[in-house]
Amino acid sequence: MSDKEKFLGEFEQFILLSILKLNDNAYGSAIRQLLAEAVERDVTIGALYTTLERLEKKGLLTSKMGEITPERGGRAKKYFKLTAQGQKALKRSKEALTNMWQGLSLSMQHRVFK
Amino acid sequence: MNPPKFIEKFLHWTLPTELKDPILGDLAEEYSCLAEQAPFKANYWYTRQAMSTGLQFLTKTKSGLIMFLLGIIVFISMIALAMIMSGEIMMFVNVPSILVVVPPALMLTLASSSKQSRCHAIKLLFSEGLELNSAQLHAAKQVFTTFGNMNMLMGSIGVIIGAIAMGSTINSENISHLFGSAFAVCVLTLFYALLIKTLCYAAEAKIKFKIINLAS
Repeated sequence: MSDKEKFLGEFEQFILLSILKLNDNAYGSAIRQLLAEAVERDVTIGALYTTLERLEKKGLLTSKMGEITPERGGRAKKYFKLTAQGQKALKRSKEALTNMWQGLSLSMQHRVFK
Repeated sequence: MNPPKFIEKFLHWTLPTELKDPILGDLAEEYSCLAEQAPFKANYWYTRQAMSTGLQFLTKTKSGLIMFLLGIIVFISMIALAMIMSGEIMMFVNVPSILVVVPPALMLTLASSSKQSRCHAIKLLFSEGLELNSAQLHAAKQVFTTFGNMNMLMGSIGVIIGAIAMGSTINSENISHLFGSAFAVCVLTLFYALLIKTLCYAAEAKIKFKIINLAS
């Protein structure tokens, strides 16, 4: 992985965390609904799959086709799972954020420039 | 209750093959849940999701088609602009000249190609994912080659017919009239033929690119 690819964007982190939370039920629609409920982010299914494909190309997650259900119009689900590399990238992002937040609080005195 | 058919078809057309099932299935699943509570809201939601997703993938999956159509539009626009700038646009419109060129060329092309190869030829222009073998691609390309060449031949015949008609009636009194409007009408057959040949050449080139890709 190149230096640039080691860093995850906020949306990428949200998606990877959603997949972790959903465990064996991590597919497009479930991820989209979890993002809407947990972080109030209403993303289009196209934007979600574009990011999922990019993360898969980076080797941060894997996918497999699942079962066909009638309520899906006879179409299969695509399930996603984090790879070890994906978990490592998430952990690294969390540590980086924690380090940056240490000793900081968002009170008014930090926001106002004098 | 089903999602809006036309919107669903548009999305199906724009999506890459590997994402058709997951994306259309996910949307159908959420749509069926929403439609039970509020059908109108569900239709609006589906349309918004499908249009946004479709437009997002359109430039990735249909870039060849977009560029082809853009090329045709630019070509037609430039020709129209040149016609407008050269005077009155109606002087380039002559129905008998069109009838001399297009219908015979079309009939001769229909007679010299199979229905399947004609269908493939049209589909290849608008469908990126159509999988054809080398022989089918060559047959489809031949349809445009034949139609373009037939137009050129009919255009040339039209010019010769016009020249013969002018030559047989020419005399010192009507020479200025014949080399005015009559000559313009005579050359229009070749003009129409050239326009169609250029479009056919672009279509041929598009299919030839697929043949080269298949071979490499």
